[in-house]
Formats: sequence, structure tokens, C-alpha cells
Amino acid sequence: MIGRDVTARRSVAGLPGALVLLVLLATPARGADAPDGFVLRVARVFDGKRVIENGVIVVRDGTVVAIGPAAGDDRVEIPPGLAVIDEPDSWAMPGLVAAASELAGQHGGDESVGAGYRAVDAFNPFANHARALAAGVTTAHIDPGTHRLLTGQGAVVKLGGEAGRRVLHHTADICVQLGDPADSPPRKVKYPFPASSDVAIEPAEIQGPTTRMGRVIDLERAIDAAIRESANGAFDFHRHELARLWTAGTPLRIGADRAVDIRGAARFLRERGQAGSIVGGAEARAVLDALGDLPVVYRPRTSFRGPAPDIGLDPDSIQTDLRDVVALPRAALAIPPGGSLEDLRLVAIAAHGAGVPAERALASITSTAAEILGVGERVGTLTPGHDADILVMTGDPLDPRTQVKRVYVDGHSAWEVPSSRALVVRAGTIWAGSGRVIEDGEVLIEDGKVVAVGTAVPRPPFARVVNAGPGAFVTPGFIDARGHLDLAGDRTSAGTDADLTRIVGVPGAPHRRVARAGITTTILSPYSVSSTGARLTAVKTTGRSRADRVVRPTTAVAFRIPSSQDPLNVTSSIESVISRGKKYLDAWKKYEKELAEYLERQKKGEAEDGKPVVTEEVEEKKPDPVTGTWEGTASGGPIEGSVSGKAALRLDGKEITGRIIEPEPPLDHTIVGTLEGTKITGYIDVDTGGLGVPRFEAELVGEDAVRGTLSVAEIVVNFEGRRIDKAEVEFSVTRRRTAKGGKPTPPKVDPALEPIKDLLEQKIPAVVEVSTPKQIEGILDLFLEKHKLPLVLVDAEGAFVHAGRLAEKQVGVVLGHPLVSRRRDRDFNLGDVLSRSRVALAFQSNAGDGARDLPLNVLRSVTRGLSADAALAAFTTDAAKMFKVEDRVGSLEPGRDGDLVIFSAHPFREGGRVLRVFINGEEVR
Amino acid sequence: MNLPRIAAALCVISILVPALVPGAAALAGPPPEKVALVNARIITVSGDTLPSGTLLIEHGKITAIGTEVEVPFDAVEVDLSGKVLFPGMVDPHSASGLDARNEPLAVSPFVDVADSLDPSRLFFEESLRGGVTSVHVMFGNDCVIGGVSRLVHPIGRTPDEMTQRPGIALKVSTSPKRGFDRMLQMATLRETFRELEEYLDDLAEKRYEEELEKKGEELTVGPEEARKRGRELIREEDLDDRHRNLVRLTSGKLDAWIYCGDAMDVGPAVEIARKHGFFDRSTFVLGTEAYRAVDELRKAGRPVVLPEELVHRDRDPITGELTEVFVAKVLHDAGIKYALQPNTGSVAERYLNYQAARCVRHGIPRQRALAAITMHPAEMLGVADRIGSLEVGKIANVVVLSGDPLEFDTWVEQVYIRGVLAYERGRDPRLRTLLGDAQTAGAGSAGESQSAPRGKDDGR
Repeated sequence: MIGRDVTARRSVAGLPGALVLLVLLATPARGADAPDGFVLRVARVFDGKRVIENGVIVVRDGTVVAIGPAAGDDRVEIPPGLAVIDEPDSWAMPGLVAAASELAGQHGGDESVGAGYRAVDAFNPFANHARALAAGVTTAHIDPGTHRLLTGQGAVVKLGGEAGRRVLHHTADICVQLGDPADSPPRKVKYPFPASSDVAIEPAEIQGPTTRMGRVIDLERAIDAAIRESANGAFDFHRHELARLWTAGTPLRIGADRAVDIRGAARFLRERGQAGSIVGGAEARAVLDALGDLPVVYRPRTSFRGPAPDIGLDPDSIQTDLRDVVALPRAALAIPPGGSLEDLRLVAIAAHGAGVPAERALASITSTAAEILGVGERVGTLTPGHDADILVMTGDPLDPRTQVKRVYVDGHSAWEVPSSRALVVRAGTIWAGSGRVIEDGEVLIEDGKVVAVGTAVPRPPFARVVNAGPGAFVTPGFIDARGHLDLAGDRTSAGTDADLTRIVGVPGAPHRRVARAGITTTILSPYSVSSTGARLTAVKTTGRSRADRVVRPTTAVAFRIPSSQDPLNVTSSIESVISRGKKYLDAWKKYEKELAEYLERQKKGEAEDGKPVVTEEVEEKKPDPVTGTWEGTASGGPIEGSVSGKAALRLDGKEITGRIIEPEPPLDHTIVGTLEGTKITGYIDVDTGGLGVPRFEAELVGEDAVRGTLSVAEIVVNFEGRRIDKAEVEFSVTRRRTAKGGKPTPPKVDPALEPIKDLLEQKIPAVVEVSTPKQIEGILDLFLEKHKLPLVLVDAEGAFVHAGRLAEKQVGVVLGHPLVSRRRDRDFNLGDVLSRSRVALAFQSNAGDGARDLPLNVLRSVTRGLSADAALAAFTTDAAKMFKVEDRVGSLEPGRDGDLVIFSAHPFREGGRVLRVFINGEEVR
Repeated sequence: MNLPRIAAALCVISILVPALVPGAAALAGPPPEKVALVNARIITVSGDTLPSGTLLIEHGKITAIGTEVEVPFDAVEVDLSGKVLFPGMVDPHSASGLDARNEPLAVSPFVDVADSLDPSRLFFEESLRGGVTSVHVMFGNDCVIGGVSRLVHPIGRTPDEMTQRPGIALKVSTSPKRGFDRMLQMATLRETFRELEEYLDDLAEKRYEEELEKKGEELTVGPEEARKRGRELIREEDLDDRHRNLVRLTSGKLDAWIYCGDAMDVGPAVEIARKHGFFDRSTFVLGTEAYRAVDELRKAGRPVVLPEELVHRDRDPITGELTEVFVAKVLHDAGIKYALQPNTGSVAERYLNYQAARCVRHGIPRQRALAAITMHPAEMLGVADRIGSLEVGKIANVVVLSGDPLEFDTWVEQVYIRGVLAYERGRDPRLRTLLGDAQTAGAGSAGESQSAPRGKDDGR
């Protein structure tokens, strides 16, 4: 609105300012949804009398200008230039007309006959009636109460739209009550003026009626008095008003529930020749003859909100039955006394349930009600020329599950379903996973999670309903067991420390392409796996944020065995990774144990809270034959006599390192060598300026003595040495600083080993890319027998050899491409062979957005023998179980993610194509 | 307690009360006939602001404003360097000065606020301290038809001494009185005016017959004609107490200030006013929610008094979402003339200049916001020729401020009413008690250098 004003102001800046302002102020505000009008296309329209299939409603300037079917002889042409609102799942109908309401409350005056009280005075045209509008009620009758014989003037108002247009009829009728509440009104008190001692205080005037007989008599007397005495006698405002209304022919709206009161009311109206209607009408069925064609606003006496009052054997109690409405010639249905306007449609639903025909039940809360209230020319029907008060509903208005989606009043949207994250998908078949198939079923998704699956799920208020139709087939979202969608072509080799969630970002067109094919989850894998394995991540193909998209940051550890690798040696690299992982896991287990003990101590109050406790672990080392300080002499070669010096050496395993410490060496150097038995060979790593590397060969002779030769280029020097000190590195101290109060500190987190740790704890599977049967055997032995770890095989052309073992040990196979290969000049469908042996399967795209064709690849496999249901299972439940993400995706069970695909039929049978895809309950568009 | 002791207590009170009303003491001495307020920044509201000028008061009226005004030799010259002169603010609608805000009787046009006005109310003292020099004292909104209002100075010992102008307007309400609903409210209103017509008809017929009798003529016309002819013969003294003010209302001698608590009350108010001929002299007193009827108010084109609470809060019945609307801006944007009311329920909003500052903060031009506490209410009350701005010829109701009126830390230093120093912060006994001598002494006296502590809430 603000934006519109600003642009409008700018565009007419040439006009004198005041004039512009005046024009802008005079232009009424219009909703952005309907600048001039709109065309509404829905599945069905109830126009107030009958139902039109594939209806079209044309609205201009707040008025219906055309209505009819979209096709056929009497079809409605869609005028050019109007916005078309398509609601293919929805119904449209006129806004509901509440023929009775307590919106105005009751007047506080004492007069038994108070014709001067006007209900419209108590109507707030600015009020927000969102709750009533949300229930579809756009028009309501208001009365000034039902607590007096003649309460005053009723009115008919709209509950939405512009404030100035809300009053449809400010004096619709004179409201009369012939029921029990009319009896014994209060006394009328007149205040003396001036209030001084010389003015007598008149006694309060007693008013009737006090008995049933007195009601009609008092009414007649009041009317007669008004007509005859309005011209003369003492001034009485209410009498004056009654005369005015009566002579203008204002209809009487008479409240009467009991047969006797209804009969009395009917007779009174007939004798006086005044138009009117009966409100209440509980026992109207018993006096049909007296009623004639007098219209009845039937008010049931159930509140829908609690038990009915007990009747027992009380002969005086009023009994009502919604079936009675069938017998009444002209009846509108209204809410029960004291009831809520939100229940109006519920009354019609209940009446329909009690036997009232559908179109009559709907008419009784729309067209019939409007006619009885005298506003049938404006509301209650969708007819050209009538107000465009239209409801768009999620389905049949008499279906209790149906909800109002949008309400138009005078062609403007007066209420709309607030955005809700609840979604109900209805379809002919719901393939929920794990062999569960629901015919004519529904799925409820709330906040991105499946909440219920069944034939009739709960309908939260304002839930979106997607009616996919009887032919539609709903499956869980498909899983691509190896994809590279978010890598954007990056073919770098990745190890187990590479966290792939970091590259998961905002989805773009490639993501949507894949998602639109029905693939909602992909096991994101690097193109190239490092020799020590790689980390895999399960991600959604689209989503609002990284958090929305990542299913599990570490889903599996992948290993790759090249097909050329020696089958006998396939396990060595995996083995070393696993052994490192075990050490890491042990360190953590130890820490966890210490922590548990610490917490236990702390619970008992034993842990000291004082100084940090420092523990020192002294690790004794055996004296080794090399480590220490050596003193030696060298002689021979160019050396005259001998040279002596000292060197410090250290042995680490077989490796020796050290340096010369005396005489002070002029060059930076390191002694590097190896110890084999008693032989020492090595070199001095020093820049000799092109002379070559000085090498040495020596042998330990006895304890702490060495003899050998040192050669540089052609020069050879003999040397012998003696260890003078070996204390230097004989023990090492591992200081383990522990936190305050003796709380143990955790080991350092090693991102490379974290996935291995998860694998060893059997939280995630190992995914091994292998090919030949022999390799597969080695892998199976390693994982299943030796370490007992969950395993998934990828590609695995030779898997059919081990089919029985794979099925028994529940090892999944991610099929490689092509799914159907040629083998000995015949088609070989590995998937079919494995699935017959009950091996769990999954499909991989091994591609980025190329994954969009994966379902077609699978379709080819289905044409070559793979069972369609096995293919569906492999895409959903089996894949999810394999990767241990079945708690999130792969099936439509309560608690799972709201990922589903609507197909026009079974995806791997004729006519199966993707219609709509939802990820986390949000549609992929 | 026995009688002599009550008498003694009354004696003490009667001595103390004038002493406590700060201006009363100031008014006690003979006021100087000529006062020149010099070297002050003068915000005239009606015209330009003078950065530094002189305002000359002679015999209670402003006789000169300008930068080059010659100060007469016999004038008391007050140096107001660094200070700001501002017109005395006008409180457009208040029942706080009354000992009862409303009669219990729903229709009571026969009463006058003068009979309920209590000069010793702390409210008047507070008004003066806040720079208000005119208060439109009016019956409260809890009525169908209230009594007659009057414009008073917030200082004086008797209602008569305070009165600036009596008989300004009659209070009418289309919002339900306590214990009433809208149907009863509107039926009572319609009944009242309907009954007035009947009464006038009867009276007219009687008067016509009397006139004929006086002339010795025979009655030759029917009752309809007799009523028509007799209407012009009705004299003020023929009317009884009950109807007199209603007739003054419908015949243009009294204005109507119509209270519309909610938006839905505006339509009926316009309808009643139009039907009974006082629409052109009506002012709408709005409740906070009434701004929604902005279209109707704009069409009506009548001035409005804004609600005390300027922010309307609305919660969506389904989503529970809270929206806030600054009412003044909505009405300002619609081009409606409005006056601001002090909000007596709030610490800060009880100052009219604070209310104006809030308007400026919400995007209303400064000039309009200042007019809404001075000129506009004066115009609504029909006294714009006498008060509401600093112009030559107007009554010298002048406020001396320590700074700009829209600054948060500005306070009232002095107030001149009819050219007489009615309030002086330095001699404000209540502030002195609250803040001690040191805090108030330096601040108030005119012409002294500024060393006073600043801060609005300790100042006022």
C-alpha cells in the first residue's frame, strides 16, 4: 500500500499538490489481490442452489458478473485482462449466512416493548471477525437480544470487508420473543427532575407479560397503542418507534420454540397480515399445518461443546432433532442459542448427517438463510449481480475435514489461511515403505516431519491439503546411494578428515533438477577416495539451509579397492586404518571410563575441588645399545695421527639420529643411520659443497663400543668409539595434566579417525568399492568375520557369487553402472539376481545433477527383469537401512522426514511420472 | 472530632491552600503593568521563530514582539538569555479539575462544570508547572449528554477567578456510559432529542396561543401550523432547566464535543450531530481505537481531540500477532485538525510538549505538532483570537522554557498568565521540598546565569 501510494504520487507530480492529495485520499483502498476483479477456477462450485462441476466465477468491482462451468454449452468465457486464480483442488461457495447470532449482545434497557433499541448500534463495523470468517461466515443477522417481549430492531451485517459497506440492512426486522424469556421484565423507573424534595417520586411501573397467555396479548396491545396513540398522549420514544416500524411494514422475527408459541406467532402474523419468520422452531414439526409457508430459522439446541442438558422424564423439556428440518417447508439453519458462529457449517454437516439432502443443507446456511433475512438479492447465492462473498474450501463443504482456505468479501480477500507448515497429501496409493501400502490414503506432515499416515489422518487447522487424486501414487523420496551433487565437479581426492557438510550450501538449479526427478536424498561422496578411506555424508537434494539439508554429517566410511589389486592383499590398507582407529577408540573409551569414574566420585563427593592434580607416568625404557654420548677417535686416510671427538646419538626403533658435539662442528648436520643387528650403516646429512655425502659403516663390538669406517668420496677414515654416557634418554615422562578436581581430559579429537571410530562402534557402515568375487570374499572376511562391522558393497560385479552370504549377513549392494551388463553375449541383470536372493540393493548415480536420469536407468533394469517393487524398495527403504539413516528417510512413517514424491502411477509401471516432490514438507518447484 | 476542632482544621487548611498553590502567592501583589521579556528565543507558533527577541507585555496583552523592540522606561525588564518563549499551552479536554467527573444521571445537560470545579486540585498546579495556561474543563466521557464546559486558567481561588470563557460546549457521548450498552446509549440519545422536539412543539403551540391571546386574535390554524409559527416565538426564558442547554446546542449557542471511544462510535456521532444541527460546531473526542474510522473523520472534516494514549495495540484473534499504531500520524496523514491531550496516567506523557515531541518522532512536522498543543485547541475552543500563539494583541499567556519545547530535558522556568508571573520554578514550594533549595534556586529567577542541573524528571 505504501509503495503504491509513493509511485502514484510520483507519477502525478505535475498536478498541484493539494489536488493530488485530494485524489489520493478519495481513492478507496483496494486489496492487492483484486485490482479490478478476478476469475476463480475451482473443481466444484455450490452457487447457493446447486453444484457446478469445474466451475468458473468471474468477479468485477466486488460483484459476481458470471458463473458457470468451464466447459460445455453454458461455459463461462474468461474475460481477458483479469487475474485467474486456479484452485484445482478446491470448492467454492457463497459466504455462509448466519441467520441468527448473538454478536450485538442484548440491550440493557428495562422496557418490555423497546422498539427503539437497534442491534446495528451495537455492531462494530471495524471489528476483526477473523475467527468467524475463518469458519466461512461472512453475513450474520444481529438482534438486540431475546430477553424481552419486543427487544427492538434486528439488522443484517457482513463480518468482513470495508467498514462502510458492512451493514446490509440496518432495520431488517422487529425482534419479538414469545418464548419464556419474555416473561417478567423489570419494573420501569422514572427519575424525577429536578431531583428535589418538592418533586414526587413516582412508583416504578410494572410491565408485562408474566404469563404465556399474556405475551401475545401484551404484544397486540403495545402495537395497537403505538398505532393509535402515537399522535397524541404523553411522548413515549419506544411507542413512537414501534408505530414507525409497523406502518413501514417491517417484518416480525418471532422467537418461539414450543409448538404452542409457534402456533400463536403464526396466528398473530396471519391475522395482522404482517410478514415475518419464526426463530428457534424446536417444535415446529408438530405444528406444520399452523405454520403454513412461514419461514423458520431453526436453531438446534446442542452446543457441540459439551453434553446436552439432561431431559430425563421431564415432560416440559424441549426436544429437538435436526431431522425435523427436512419437514419444514422453508428453513434456515442457524447456530444454537449461545453457540459460536464458527459452528455454523457444523450445524449443516450434522443436519446432512441426520438426513437433510446435501444441497438443502448447504442452501439452509446460504441462500435460504439470506432470503429469510431479506438480503437474498445481495448475498447467499453466487449469481451475476450479487456480492462477491465467496469461500474457497479444501473440499466438499459437508465433509467435516474440509477447511476454508480463503474468504472473499465484496471481491476482496477478507481472510486467508495463515501460512502453516502442516501439509496433508491425499492419494489413491501411498507406498509407505517396508511393504506397507495404503489405498486411498493420506500423509500428514507437520514442521517438515511425517506425523501420521493412514486412511484418515488428523487435519490440523489451516493445513494445506494436496489432493493428488485416486490414480496418484505416493512414495518416500528416493535415495541416490552415491552422488556428487554439491561437489560442483571438484574431483580432488578426499580422506576421512574431509567434512563434506562444509560444501553443502544453498541449492541451485542442478539441485532442483535432481529433486524434481524424485531423488530427495543423496549420499554425497567425493569423486576420488583416498587410500585410507573417505567420509560420506547424507544430504537432501534441496532445502532452505545447510541444517535443513544435512541428514547425517558422517553417514559412512568409503574404501576403494581397485579391480587390479591382488585379491590376497586387498585388506592390508583397510586393516592398518582399522588398527589406528582401534587405538583411537581405546583412548576414548579409556577417557570415558575415567570420566565415568570421576563423575561417580564426584557424585559421592569424593573428588577434591582443590588444586589441579598432575599425574606423571614414568615409562621405563630398556637401555639400548646406541643411545647416549659417544667418544671416539678417527684415523687413517688424510688424517695425520688421530682426531678425537664426541657425538650424541639416539636410537628410535631401528633408526639412529644424532650429531657431533665435540669439536664444535662448523656446519649444520645430522647423523642418520640404521641399526641392523649389530651393524650400523648411515650417512651424515651435511652440505659438503659437492664433495658428496659422508657415509659410515660400523659394527658394535661388545657393550658400548663401536668400530667402523667413514667415507667421503674416495676418502676412507677408520674410527672407533666408546659410549661414555647413556643416561640421557633412558626414560621419558608422560605428563598428563588433569583438570581441576581430578577431572580427566579427553584425548585430542582426530578428524581423520572420527569416522573410523563411528564405524568401529557400528554406528555407520563401511562402504567398499570392489569388483571381483575374490576381492569381495576378502572384504567380507575382514569386515564380517574379523571385525564384525556393518558393510555395504559398491559396484561389486562379482557379488552374485556371494549372494547367499550377502543376504544372510545383510550386506547391502549399491549397484554399479550399467545396471544391466553384457556377459557372455547375454544380458546380465545383477540387481535382479541379487534381489531374487533377497540381497538389499541401492542405486547410485555416481554423478552430479546427472542423477536426474537415475530413475530412467532403473526403469531400464525393470524392463530387463528387476521387480518394480524391488526397485522401489532399493530406492527408498533398503538404501536408508543400508546407510543407517532409516530413522530419517526412506519410508513414510511417523517421525520420518516429510520427503515424498507424488507419481501419476507406480513409478516403475505404465504411466508413472513425477507430479510433485516434497522435501521436509516443502514442495520443490 | 468535635465541631471546634473541625473549624480549627478548616482554618488551617484555608490558610495553607493558597500558600501551596504557587501562583496564588505570585498573584497576591499588584502586578506590574508593563513587562518586557528580552533576549529570548521566541517561538510564536503562528509565525516565524525569532532567534533572539523581545516580547513586550502591557496591561496583560502582548503589544510587541521583535528583535528591535524598544523597551519602555517604566517596564520591568526580564533578561531571558538562553531561554525560549512559547505560547501558554492549551489542555483541550480535561475533567481532572472536577470533584466528580460525571453526574450519575445519563442525560444531564442542565449542569455546568463551574459547580464542580475545584481550584485546589493538584491537577491545576501540575498543569501550570507543565506550562499549560488554559484548561478546557469538561465533564467526563461517562455520560450520554453531560453538562456545559468552560475554559479556565489553571490558577485562581474560585471558579469565577479562574474562568477565561464560560459556556463553551456540551459533552455528548456515543460510546456507552458505564452500565450501558451501545443500544441503550444510542436509544437514550435519540430519545433525548426526539423528546426535545416534542417539548418544543408543545411549547411552540403554547407560545403561539399566548401570542394570539395577547393580540386578542382567534386561533385559526391547525396544530401543525401553530407549532411551526410558535417556534420563532420561543424565548430563552420560556425554556425549562432541563431543555435549555439542549436548545442552545441545537440552535448554535453551544458547541458539541462528542466522545467516540471506538471507531464504531464515530458514524453515530456524525449522524446525531448532522440530524440535530450542531455538526458544524462539533469536535470529536477520540478514544485510542477510534482512529480506525479515519475515513469517516476525514469526510466529516471536523477537528478531533486525540486520545490520551496515542499508541493503539491490536492483537490478531487467530495468530496472536501484536500490531502497534501511532494514532496521531494516521489522523495527521488524513489531513484532520487535531489537538493533543496530556496523558495523566503516564509520568512523561502528562506533559503536552512531550506528547508533541512523540508526534514529531513519528513523522509529524514540528510546526503541526506544536500547533496541536497551542493554536489548534484554541481554534477548536473558539478563542484563537485571544490565545494559542505569541502575536501582538493576544493575551499574554507566555511560558518561559529552559530550552526547545520538544527537547526531553527542557523544563518550564516561568509562566505568565495575562502578563502576570503566575509560576516561577525557583519559587515552586513543592519542587523546593522535593529537590531542595540548591536545585531550584539558581534555575528559576529570570536573568540569572545558567548553572542549574538539567533533567526533565527532576525538574518537573
